[in-house]
Amino acid sequence: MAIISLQSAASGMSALNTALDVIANNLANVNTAGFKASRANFQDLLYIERSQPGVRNANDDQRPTGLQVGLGVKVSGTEYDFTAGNPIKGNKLDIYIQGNGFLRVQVEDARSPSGTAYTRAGQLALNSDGELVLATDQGRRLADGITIDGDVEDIQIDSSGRVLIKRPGVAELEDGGQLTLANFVNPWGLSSLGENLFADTDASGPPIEGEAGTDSFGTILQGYYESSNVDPTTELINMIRVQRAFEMNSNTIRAADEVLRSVAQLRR
Amino acid sequence: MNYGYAIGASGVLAAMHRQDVAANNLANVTTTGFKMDLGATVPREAARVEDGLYNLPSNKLLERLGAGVLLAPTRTVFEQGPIETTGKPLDVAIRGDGFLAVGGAGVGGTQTVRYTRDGRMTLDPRGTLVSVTDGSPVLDAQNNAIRLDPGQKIAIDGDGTIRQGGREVARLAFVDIADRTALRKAGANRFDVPAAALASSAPARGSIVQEAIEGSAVDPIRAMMAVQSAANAVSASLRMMSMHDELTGRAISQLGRIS
Repeated sequence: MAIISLQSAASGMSALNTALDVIANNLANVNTAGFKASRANFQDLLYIERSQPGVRNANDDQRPTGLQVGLGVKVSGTEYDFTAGNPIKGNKLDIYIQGNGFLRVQVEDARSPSGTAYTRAGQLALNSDGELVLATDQGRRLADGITIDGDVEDIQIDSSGRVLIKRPGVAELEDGGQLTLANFVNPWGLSSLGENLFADTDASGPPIEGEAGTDSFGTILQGYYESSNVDPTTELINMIRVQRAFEMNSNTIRAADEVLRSVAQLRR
Repeated sequence: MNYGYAIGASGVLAAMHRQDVAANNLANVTTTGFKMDLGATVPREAARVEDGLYNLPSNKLLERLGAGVLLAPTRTVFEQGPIETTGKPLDVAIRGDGFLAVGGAGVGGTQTVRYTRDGRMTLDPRGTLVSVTDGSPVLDAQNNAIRLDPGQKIAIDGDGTIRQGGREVARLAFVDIADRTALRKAGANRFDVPAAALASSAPARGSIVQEAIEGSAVDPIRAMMAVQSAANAVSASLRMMSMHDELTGRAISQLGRIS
Protein backbone atom coordinates (compact mmCIF):
# COMPACT_ATOMS: atom_id res chain seq x y z
CA MET A 1 0.00 0.00 0.00
CA ALA A 2 2.74 2.40 0.83
CA ILE A 3 3.98 1.53 -2.64
CA ILE A 4 1.11 3.62 -4.06
CA SER A 5 2.17 6.70 -2.10
CA LEU A 6 5.70 6.17 -3.36
CA GLN A 7 4.44 6.06 -6.93
CA SER A 8 2.14 9.07 -6.48
CA ALA A 9 5.02 11.09 -5.09
CA ALA A 10 7.33 9.93 -7.88
CA SER A 11 4.74 10.90 -10.51
CA GLY A 12 4.45 14.28 -8.82
CA MET A 13 8.20 14.81 -8.85
CA SER A 14 8.58 13.84 -12.49
CA ALA A 15 5.65 16.04 -13.58
CA LEU A 16 6.92 18.99 -11.55
CA ASN A 17 10.36 18.42 -13.02
CA THR A 18 8.87 18.80 -16.52
CA ALA A 19 7.10 21.98 -15.37
CA LEU A 20 10.43 23.31 -14.11
CA ASP A 21 12.05 22.54 -17.49
CA VAL A 22 9.31 24.50 -19.25
CA ILE A 23 9.73 27.46 -16.89
CA ALA A 24 13.52 27.39 -17.32
CA ASN A 25 13.14 27.50 -21.10
CA ASN A 26 10.68 30.40 -20.83
CA LEU A 27 13.08 32.34 -18.62
CA ALA A 28 16.03 31.60 -20.89
CA ASN A 29 14.05 33.15 -23.76
CA VAL A 30 12.95 36.26 -21.93
CA ASN A 31 14.77 38.40 -24.53
CA THR A 32 14.14 36.28 -27.64
CA ALA A 33 12.19 38.21 -30.29
CA GLY A 34 8.83 36.65 -31.13
CA PHE A 35 9.20 33.96 -28.46
CA LYS A 36 5.99 32.49 -27.06
CA ALA A 37 5.90 31.23 -23.48
CA SER A 38 4.64 27.70 -22.77
CA ARG A 39 3.03 26.23 -19.75
CA ALA A 40 2.88 22.61 -18.62
CA ASN A 41 -0.68 21.38 -18.13
CA PHE A 42 -1.28 18.94 -15.29
CA GLN A 43 -4.00 16.35 -14.87
CA ASP A 44 -4.65 13.75 -12.20
CA LEU A 45 -4.12 10.09 -13.09
CA LEU A 46 -6.70 7.32 -12.84
CA TYR A 47 -8.17 6.25 -9.54
CA ILE A 48 -8.26 2.74 -8.17
CA GLU A 49 -11.27 1.50 -6.28
CA ARG A 50 -10.44 -0.03 -2.95
CA SER A 51 -13.75 -1.48 -1.95
CA GLN A 52 -14.39 -3.27 1.27
CA PRO A 53 -17.76 -4.91 1.99
CA GLY A 54 -19.82 -3.38 4.74
CA VAL A 55 -18.18 0.01 4.53
CA ARG A 56 -20.39 2.66 6.08
CA ASN A 57 -20.53 6.33 5.33
CA ALA A 58 -21.19 9.05 7.87
CA ASN A 59 -24.97 8.53 7.59
CA ASP A 60 -24.42 4.93 8.58
CA ASP A 61 -25.77 3.48 5.36
CA GLN A 62 -23.69 1.01 3.48
CA ARG A 63 -22.03 1.56 0.15
CA PRO A 64 -20.78 -1.32 -1.90
CA THR A 65 -17.96 0.79 -3.35
CA GLY A 66 -16.76 4.35 -3.10
CA LEU A 67 -13.26 4.00 -1.80
CA GLN A 68 -11.05 5.72 -4.31
CA VAL A 69 -7.32 6.20 -4.20
CA GLY A 70 -5.61 8.36 -6.79
CA LEU A 71 -2.42 7.28 -8.46
CA GLY A 72 -0.74 10.64 -8.85
CA VAL A 73 -0.36 13.23 -11.57
CA LYS A 74 0.98 13.62 -15.09
CA VAL A 75 1.76 16.37 -17.53
CA SER A 76 -0.93 16.19 -20.20
CA GLY A 77 0.97 18.48 -22.52
CA THR A 78 2.49 21.89 -22.93
CA GLU A 79 0.53 24.77 -24.32
CA TYR A 80 1.78 27.95 -25.98
CA ASP A 81 0.61 31.33 -24.91
CA PHE A 82 0.05 33.26 -28.15
CA THR A 83 -0.62 36.63 -26.59
CA ALA A 84 1.41 39.25 -28.42
CA GLY A 85 4.70 40.60 -27.14
CA ASN A 86 5.34 44.32 -27.06
CA PRO A 87 6.57 46.25 -30.11
CA ILE A 88 10.21 47.21 -29.64
CA LYS A 89 11.95 49.85 -31.72
CA GLY A 90 14.30 48.06 -34.07
CA ASN A 91 15.93 48.35 -37.47
CA LYS A 92 14.43 49.69 -40.67
CA LEU A 93 13.52 46.20 -41.89
CA ASP A 94 12.00 44.94 -38.65
CA ILE A 95 8.26 44.33 -38.73
CA TYR A 96 5.73 43.85 -35.96
CA ILE A 97 2.38 42.18 -36.59
CA GLN A 98 -0.34 44.03 -34.70
CA GLY A 99 -2.89 41.27 -34.24
CA ASN A 100 -3.12 37.73 -35.57
CA GLY A 101 -0.81 36.24 -38.16
CA PHE A 102 2.55 34.64 -38.76
CA LEU A 103 5.22 35.38 -41.36
CA ARG A 104 5.87 32.48 -43.73
CA VAL A 105 9.44 31.21 -43.95
CA GLN A 106 11.05 28.63 -46.25
CA VAL A 107 12.60 25.64 -44.47
CA GLU A 108 13.89 22.24 -45.52
CA ASP A 109 11.18 19.63 -46.05
CA ALA A 110 12.80 17.52 -43.33
CA ARG A 111 11.96 20.14 -40.73
CA SER A 112 8.41 20.86 -41.83
CA PRO A 113 6.63 18.59 -44.36
CA SER A 114 5.00 21.56 -46.07
CA GLY A 115 8.38 23.23 -46.61
CA THR A 116 7.10 26.28 -44.79
CA ALA A 117 7.55 27.40 -41.21
CA TYR A 118 5.87 30.27 -39.40
CA THR A 119 7.23 32.95 -37.13
CA ARG A 120 6.28 36.16 -35.36
CA ALA A 121 9.91 37.25 -35.01
CA GLY A 122 9.88 39.90 -37.73
CA GLN A 123 13.55 40.79 -37.66
CA LEU A 124 14.27 40.87 -41.38
CA ALA A 125 17.37 41.58 -43.45
CA LEU A 126 18.56 41.34 -47.06
CA ASN A 127 21.07 38.67 -48.03
CA SER A 128 23.80 39.08 -50.65
CA ASP A 129 21.31 38.21 -53.44
CA GLY A 130 18.92 40.92 -52.25
CA GLU A 131 16.39 38.41 -50.95
CA LEU A 132 14.30 39.27 -47.92
CA VAL A 133 15.42 36.85 -45.16
CA LEU A 134 15.15 36.40 -41.40
CA ALA A 135 18.07 38.04 -39.62
CA THR A 136 19.08 34.80 -37.91
CA ASP A 137 22.28 32.82 -38.41
CA GLN A 138 20.44 30.53 -40.86
CA GLY A 139 19.25 33.50 -42.93
CA ARG A 140 16.05 31.72 -43.98
CA ARG A 141 14.16 33.23 -46.94
CA LEU A 142 10.62 34.46 -46.54
CA ALA A 143 8.24 32.23 -48.51
CA ASP A 144 6.92 35.25 -50.42
CA GLY A 145 10.15 35.30 -52.45
CA ILE A 146 10.68 39.03 -52.34
CA THR A 147 13.96 40.18 -53.95
CA ILE A 148 15.16 43.72 -53.83
CA ASP A 149 18.06 44.40 -56.17
CA GLY A 150 19.70 47.33 -57.84
CA ASP A 151 20.23 50.76 -56.43
CA VAL A 152 17.91 51.24 -53.46
CA GLU A 153 17.53 54.39 -51.39
CA ASP A 154 14.83 53.22 -49.01
CA ILE A 155 12.55 50.24 -48.44
CA GLN A 156 9.09 50.70 -46.97
CA ILE A 157 6.66 48.06 -45.82
CA ASP A 158 3.13 49.39 -45.44
CA SER A 159 0.47 48.22 -42.97
CA SER A 160 -0.95 45.70 -45.46
CA GLY A 161 2.46 44.10 -45.99
CA ARG A 162 3.20 45.60 -49.41
CA VAL A 163 6.93 46.18 -49.93
CA LEU A 164 7.70 49.50 -51.63
CA ILE A 165 11.12 50.45 -52.98
CA LYS A 166 12.38 54.01 -53.30
CA ARG A 167 14.94 54.32 -56.09
CA PRO A 168 17.33 57.28 -56.07
CA GLY A 169 16.11 60.12 -58.23
CA VAL A 170 12.68 58.52 -58.81
CA ALA A 171 9.76 60.17 -57.04
CA GLU A 172 7.35 57.24 -57.30
CA LEU A 173 7.75 54.15 -55.15
CA GLU A 174 8.32 50.88 -56.96
CA ASP A 175 6.22 47.82 -55.99
CA GLY A 176 8.55 45.18 -54.51
CA GLY A 177 6.03 42.46 -53.71
CA GLN A 178 3.51 41.49 -51.08
CA LEU A 179 4.12 39.81 -47.70
CA THR A 180 1.47 37.17 -47.05
CA LEU A 181 0.56 36.23 -43.50
CA ALA A 182 -0.70 32.86 -42.31
CA ASN A 183 -3.11 32.06 -39.53
CA PHE A 184 -4.29 28.82 -37.93
CA VAL A 185 -7.56 27.53 -36.59
CA ASN A 186 -5.68 26.13 -33.63
CA PRO A 187 -2.34 27.92 -33.24
CA TRP A 188 -1.88 26.06 -29.92
CA GLY A 189 -1.37 22.92 -32.01
CA LEU A 190 1.71 24.29 -33.80
CA SER A 191 4.98 22.55 -33.07
CA SER A 192 8.10 24.49 -32.24
CA LEU A 193 11.13 24.06 -34.53
CA GLY A 194 13.56 26.30 -32.68
CA GLU A 195 14.99 29.46 -34.33
CA ASN A 196 11.68 31.16 -33.33
CA LEU A 197 9.93 29.04 -35.98
CA PHE A 198 6.75 26.99 -35.75
CA ALA A 199 5.59 24.21 -38.08
CA ASP A 200 1.97 23.37 -38.89
CA THR A 201 0.69 19.99 -37.71
CA ASP A 202 -2.52 18.00 -37.99
CA ALA A 203 -3.55 19.56 -34.69
CA SER A 204 -3.03 23.14 -35.85
CA GLY A 205 -4.83 22.60 -39.14
CA PRO A 206 -3.57 23.90 -42.49
CA PRO A 207 -2.49 27.54 -42.74
CA ILE A 208 -5.07 30.13 -43.76
CA GLU A 209 -3.22 32.68 -45.86
CA GLY A 210 -4.08 36.30 -46.42
CA GLU A 211 -2.88 39.87 -46.58
CA ALA A 212 -2.29 41.89 -43.45
CA GLY A 213 -5.28 43.98 -42.47
CA THR A 214 -7.84 41.74 -44.18
CA ASP A 215 -10.22 39.33 -42.43
CA SER A 216 -8.77 38.32 -39.07
CA PHE A 217 -5.19 39.26 -39.92
CA GLY A 218 -3.38 41.99 -38.03
CA THR A 219 -1.63 44.93 -39.62
CA ILE A 220 2.10 45.42 -40.06
CA LEU A 221 4.16 48.04 -38.28
CA GLN A 222 7.55 48.70 -39.81
CA GLY A 223 10.62 49.56 -37.72
CA TYR A 224 9.52 47.52 -34.70
CA TYR A 225 9.89 43.88 -33.75
CA GLU A 226 7.95 41.77 -31.26
CA SER A 227 9.45 41.15 -27.84
CA SER A 228 9.23 37.82 -26.04
CA ASN A 229 5.89 37.47 -24.26
CA VAL A 230 7.49 35.81 -21.24
CA ASP A 231 6.61 37.63 -18.03
CA PRO A 232 9.63 37.05 -15.78
CA THR A 233 7.68 37.78 -12.58
CA THR A 234 5.03 35.16 -13.31
CA GLU A 235 7.67 32.66 -14.32
CA LEU A 236 9.68 33.20 -11.14
CA ILE A 237 6.57 32.85 -8.97
CA ASN A 238 5.69 29.63 -10.80
CA MET A 239 9.24 28.43 -10.32
CA ILE A 240 9.03 28.92 -6.56
CA ARG A 241 5.69 27.17 -6.46
CA VAL A 242 6.88 24.22 -8.53
CA GLN A 243 10.10 23.87 -6.57
CA ARG A 244 8.31 23.82 -3.22
CA ALA A 245 5.75 21.30 -4.51
CA PHE A 246 8.67 19.18 -5.68
CA GLU A 247 10.22 19.28 -2.21
CA MET A 248 6.91 18.32 -0.59
CA ASN A 249 6.63 15.29 -2.86
CA SER A 250 10.14 14.24 -1.94
CA ASN A 251 8.99 14.40 1.70
CA THR A 252 6.16 12.01 0.83
CA ILE A 253 8.75 9.59 -0.47
CA ARG A 254 10.64 9.85 2.80
CA ALA A 255 7.45 9.22 4.83
CA ALA A 256 6.44 6.25 2.67
CA ASP A 257 9.95 4.89 2.99
CA GLU A 258 9.67 5.19 6.76
CA VAL A 259 6.46 3.16 6.65
CA LEU A 260 8.00 0.43 4.54
CA ARG A 261 11.04 0.26 6.78
CA SER A 262 8.85 -0.09 9.89
CA VAL A 263 6.89 -2.86 8.20
CA ALA A 264 10.10 -4.62 7.23
CA GLN A 265 11.32 -4.44 10.81
CA LEU A 266 8.11 -5.88 12.26
CA ARG A 267 9.66 -9.29 12.66
CA ARG A 268 13.26 -9.05 13.72
CA MET B 1 -4.68 -16.15 19.19
CA ASN B 2 -3.90 -12.69 20.49
CA TYR B 3 -6.74 -10.31 19.46
CA GLY B 4 -4.43 -7.28 19.43
CA TYR B 5 -2.56 -8.53 16.34
CA ALA B 6 -5.62 -8.05 14.17
CA ILE B 7 -6.41 -4.64 15.65
CA GLY B 8 -2.81 -3.53 15.09
CA ALA B 9 -2.85 -4.82 11.51
CA SER B 10 -6.09 -2.99 10.74
CA GLY B 11 -4.45 0.18 12.10
CA VAL B 12 -1.44 -0.30 9.78
CA LEU B 13 -3.60 -0.91 6.70
CA ALA B 14 -5.90 2.05 7.42
CA ALA B 15 -2.98 4.41 8.02
CA MET B 16 -1.29 3.29 4.79
CA HIS B 17 -4.53 4.00 2.95
CA ARG B 18 -4.66 7.48 4.49
CA GLN B 19 -1.08 8.02 3.36
CA ASP B 20 -1.87 6.95 -0.21
CA VAL B 21 -4.74 9.43 -0.40
CA ALA B 22 -2.62 12.23 1.06
CA ALA B 23 0.27 11.40 -1.30
CA ASN B 24 -2.09 11.78 -4.26
CA ASN B 25 -3.25 15.16 -2.89
CA LEU B 26 0.34 16.32 -2.62
CA ALA B 27 1.21 15.06 -6.10
CA ASN B 28 -1.68 17.19 -7.41
CA VAL B 29 -0.75 20.33 -5.52
CA THR B 30 -0.37 22.20 -8.84
CA THR B 31 -3.12 20.45 -10.86
CA THR B 32 -5.75 22.82 -12.22
CA GLY B 33 -9.24 22.34 -10.76
CA PHE B 34 -8.09 19.51 -8.48
CA LYS B 35 -10.10 18.89 -5.32
CA MET B 36 -8.57 17.35 -2.23
CA ASP B 37 -9.59 13.87 -1.06
CA LEU B 38 -9.95 12.83 2.55
CA GLY B 39 -8.98 9.26 3.39
CA ALA B 40 -11.58 8.65 6.08
CA THR B 41 -11.70 5.77 8.53
CA VAL B 42 -14.46 4.44 10.80
CA PRO B 43 -14.20 2.34 13.96
CA ARG B 44 -15.05 -1.29 13.40
CA GLU B 45 -17.46 -2.97 15.79
CA ALA B 46 -16.70 -6.30 17.43
CA ALA B 47 -17.68 -9.28 15.30
CA ARG B 48 -20.85 -10.08 17.25
CA VAL B 49 -22.19 -6.53 16.93
CA GLU B 50 -21.06 -6.13 13.30
CA ASP B 51 -22.77 -9.31 12.21
CA GLY B 52 -25.86 -8.71 14.33
CA LEU B 53 -25.51 -12.01 16.21
CA TYR B 54 -26.80 -10.58 19.47
CA ASN B 55 -28.01 -13.88 20.91
CA LEU B 56 -24.57 -15.47 20.78
CA PRO B 57 -22.61 -15.54 24.02
CA SER B 58 -19.66 -13.18 24.02
CA ASN B 59 -17.00 -11.62 26.19
CA LYS B 60 -18.25 -8.16 27.25
CA LEU B 61 -14.74 -6.80 27.76
CA LEU B 62 -13.66 -7.92 24.33
CA GLU B 63 -16.73 -6.37 22.79
CA ARG B 64 -15.99 -3.02 24.37
CA LEU B 65 -12.57 -3.11 22.73
CA GLY B 66 -14.08 -2.93 19.27
CA ALA B 67 -12.32 -4.55 16.35
CA GLY B 68 -9.92 -1.95 15.07
CA VAL B 69 -10.53 0.35 12.17
CA LEU B 70 -12.14 0.20 8.71
CA LEU B 71 -11.70 2.36 5.66
CA ALA B 72 -14.59 4.71 4.94
CA PRO B 73 -15.47 5.97 1.46
CA THR B 74 -13.09 8.63 0.24
CA ARG B 75 -14.61 12.08 0.60
CA THR B 76 -13.76 14.86 -1.82
CA VAL B 77 -13.63 18.35 -0.35
CA PHE B 78 -15.20 20.82 -2.78
CA GLU B 79 -13.40 23.88 -1.48
CA GLN B 80 -12.80 26.75 -3.88
CA GLY B 81 -9.28 26.77 -5.31
CA PRO B 82 -7.40 30.02 -5.92
CA ILE B 83 -8.35 31.89 -9.12
CA GLU B 84 -5.17 32.56 -11.11
CA THR B 85 -5.29 34.90 -14.09
CA THR B 86 -3.56 33.56 -17.19
CA GLY B 87 -4.62 36.05 -19.88
CA LYS B 88 -5.57 33.24 -22.29
CA PRO B 89 -9.03 33.83 -23.79
CA LEU B 90 -9.89 30.13 -23.69
CA ASP B 91 -9.08 29.62 -20.02
CA VAL B 92 -12.02 29.85 -17.66
CA ALA B 93 -12.22 29.49 -13.90
CA ILE B 94 -15.35 28.87 -11.88
CA ARG B 95 -15.93 31.08 -8.87
CA GLY B 96 -18.43 29.44 -6.53
CA ASP B 97 -20.48 26.32 -7.24
CA GLY B 98 -20.69 24.71 -10.66
CA PHE B 99 -19.13 22.34 -13.15
CA LEU B 100 -18.42 22.37 -16.87
CA ALA B 101 -19.45 19.35 -18.95
CA VAL B 102 -16.94 17.44 -21.10
CA GLY B 103 -17.77 14.64 -23.52
CA GLY B 104 -15.69 11.50 -23.66
CA ALA B 105 -15.58 7.81 -24.35
CA GLY B 106 -17.51 5.73 -21.86
CA VAL B 107 -17.75 1.99 -21.24
CA GLY B 108 -18.10 -0.17 -24.35
CA GLY B 109 -17.72 2.52 -27.02
CA THR B 110 -20.55 4.67 -25.67
CA GLN B 111 -20.32 8.41 -25.21
CA THR B 112 -20.48 9.79 -21.73
CA VAL B 113 -20.52 13.22 -20.12
CA ARG B 114 -18.14 14.01 -17.31
CA TYR B 115 -17.97 17.09 -15.16
CA THR B 116 -14.95 19.22 -14.37
CA ARG B 117 -13.79 22.46 -12.81
CA ASP B 118 -10.72 22.54 -15.04
CA GLY B 119 -11.58 25.23 -17.58
CA ARG B 120 -8.47 25.11 -19.79
CA MET B 121 -9.81 24.87 -23.31
CA THR B 122 -8.49 25.18 -26.83
CA LEU B 123 -9.79 24.79 -30.39
CA ASP B 124 -9.13 21.73 -32.51
CA PRO B 125 -8.39 21.97 -36.29
CA ARG B 126 -12.13 22.05 -37.06
CA GLY B 127 -12.78 24.86 -34.59
CA THR B 128 -14.40 22.66 -31.95
CA LEU B 129 -13.98 23.79 -28.37
CA VAL B 130 -12.02 21.05 -26.57
CA SER B 131 -10.33 20.44 -23.24
CA VAL B 132 -6.53 20.85 -23.31
CA THR B 133 -5.90 17.71 -21.30
CA ASP B 134 -6.98 15.17 -23.92
CA GLY B 135 -8.98 16.99 -26.59
CA SER B 136 -12.42 15.88 -25.40
CA PRO B 137 -15.14 18.30 -26.52
CA VAL B 138 -16.43 20.84 -24.01
CA LEU B 139 -20.22 20.72 -24.21
CA ASP B 140 -22.99 23.29 -24.36
CA ALA B 141 -26.17 23.30 -22.29
CA GLN B 142 -27.75 20.70 -24.63
CA ASN B 143 -24.65 18.46 -24.34
CA ASN B 144 -23.55 19.17 -27.92
CA ALA B 145 -20.02 20.08 -28.97
CA ILE B 146 -19.36 23.78 -29.52
CA ARG B 147 -18.00 25.09 -32.84
CA LEU B 148 -16.37 28.53 -32.83
CA ASP B 149 -14.90 30.84 -35.46
CA PRO B 150 -11.17 30.91 -34.70
CA GLY B 151 -10.64 34.21 -36.46
CA GLN B 152 -12.82 36.20 -34.13
CA LYS B 153 -12.34 37.29 -30.55
CA ILE B 154 -14.00 34.98 -28.04
CA ALA B 155 -15.73 36.49 -25.03
CA ILE B 156 -17.20 34.29 -22.31
CA ASP B 157 -19.69 35.79 -19.85
CA GLY B 158 -20.18 34.93 -16.21
CA ASP B 159 -23.03 32.52 -17.02
CA GLY B 160 -21.06 30.70 -19.71
CA THR B 161 -22.47 32.52 -22.75
CA ILE B 162 -19.86 32.63 -25.52
CA ARG B 163 -19.94 35.73 -27.71
CA GLN B 164 -18.12 36.38 -30.95
CA GLY B 165 -18.36 39.74 -32.65
CA GLY B 166 -21.02 40.81 -30.17
CA ARG B 167 -23.31 37.88 -31.07
CA GLU B 168 -24.16 34.99 -28.76
CA VAL B 169 -22.83 31.87 -30.50
CA ALA B 170 -23.05 29.20 -27.81
CA ARG B 171 -23.47 28.66 -24.14
CA LEU B 172 -21.30 26.41 -22.00
CA ALA B 173 -23.06 23.79 -19.90
CA PHE B 174 -22.71 25.16 -16.40
CA VAL B 175 -24.44 23.01 -13.85
CA ASP B 176 -24.28 22.21 -10.19
CA ILE B 177 -24.85 18.74 -8.81
CA ALA B 178 -26.60 18.83 -5.46
CA ASP B 179 -25.45 15.41 -4.28
CA ARG B 180 -21.72 16.01 -4.16
CA THR B 181 -21.04 12.68 -2.43
CA ALA B 182 -22.10 10.86 -5.62
CA LEU B 183 -19.31 12.46 -7.69
CA ARG B 184 -16.49 10.05 -8.43
CA LYS B 185 -13.10 11.04 -9.74
CA ALA B 186 -12.37 9.73 -13.22
CA GLY B 187 -8.87 11.12 -13.78
CA ALA B 188 -7.99 13.99 -16.16
CA ASN B 189 -9.44 16.41 -13.55
CA ARG B 190 -12.96 15.08 -14.21
CA PHE B 191 -15.79 13.54 -12.23
CA ASP B 192 -18.17 10.76 -13.16
CA VAL B 193 -21.72 11.49 -12.11
CA PRO B 194 -24.19 8.58 -11.83
CA ALA B 195 -27.53 9.13 -13.55
CA ALA B 196 -29.37 9.26 -10.23
CA ALA B 197 -27.27 12.16 -9.02
CA LEU B 198 -27.51 13.91 -12.37
CA ALA B 199 -31.25 14.21 -11.76
CA SER B 200 -30.42 16.55 -8.90
CA SER B 201 -28.43 18.88 -11.17
CA ALA B 202 -29.46 22.50 -11.37
CA PRO B 203 -28.12 25.64 -13.05
CA ALA B 204 -24.92 26.61 -11.26
CA ARG B 205 -24.97 29.51 -8.85
CA GLY B 206 -21.30 30.35 -9.31
CA SER B 207 -19.88 32.50 -12.06
CA ILE B 208 -17.40 31.89 -14.86
CA VAL B 209 -14.28 34.03 -15.01
CA GLN B 210 -12.57 34.25 -18.39
CA GLU B 211 -8.77 34.36 -18.83
CA ALA B 212 -8.21 32.64 -15.49
CA ILE B 213 -7.94 29.12 -14.13
CA GLU B 214 -8.80 27.64 -10.77
CA GLY B 215 -5.67 26.35 -9.10
CA SER B 216 -5.50 23.15 -7.06
CA ALA B 217 -7.55 23.38 -3.87
CA VAL B 218 -5.06 21.21 -1.99
CA ASP B 219 -3.78 22.79 1.18
CA PRO B 220 -0.13 21.67 1.00
CA ILE B 221 0.44 21.99 4.76
CA ARG B 222 -2.56 19.83 5.63
CA ALA B 223 -1.59 17.29 2.97
CA MET B 224 2.00 17.09 4.22
CA MET B 225 0.86 16.67 7.81
CA ALA B 226 -1.50 13.90 6.71
CA VAL B 227 1.35 12.06 4.97
CA GLN B 228 3.59 12.37 8.03
CA SER B 229 0.92 11.57 10.62
CA ALA B 230 -0.08 8.48 8.65
CA ALA B 231 3.56 7.35 8.69
CA ASN B 232 3.63 7.85 12.47
CA ALA B 233 0.36 5.96 12.88
CA VAL B 234 1.84 3.05 10.93
CA SER B 235 4.88 2.93 13.25
CA ALA B 236 2.65 3.11 16.32
CA SER B 237 0.41 0.27 15.16
CA LEU B 238 3.41 -1.80 14.17
CA ARG B 239 4.91 -1.20 17.60
CA MET B 240 1.69 -2.54 19.13
CA MET B 241 1.98 -5.61 16.95
CA SER B 242 5.55 -6.31 18.03
CA MET B 243 4.52 -5.84 21.67
CA HIS B 244 1.88 -8.49 21.21
CA ASP B 245 4.53 -10.62 19.56
CA GLU B 246 6.76 -10.15 22.61
CA LEU B 247 3.89 -11.04 24.96
CA THR B 248 3.11 -14.18 23.02
CA GLY B 249 6.78 -15.09 23.09
CA ARG B 250 6.94 -14.62 26.82
CA ALA B 251 3.79 -16.65 27.30
CA ILE B 252 5.32 -19.48 25.37
CA SER B 253 8.73 -19.40 27.04
CA GLN B 254 7.75 -18.56 30.65
CA LEU B 255 4.13 -19.58 31.27
CA GLY B 256 4.56 -22.80 29.44
CA ARG B 257 7.78 -23.78 31.21
CA ILE B 258 7.37 -26.98 33.21
CA SER B 259 10.25 -27.03 35.62
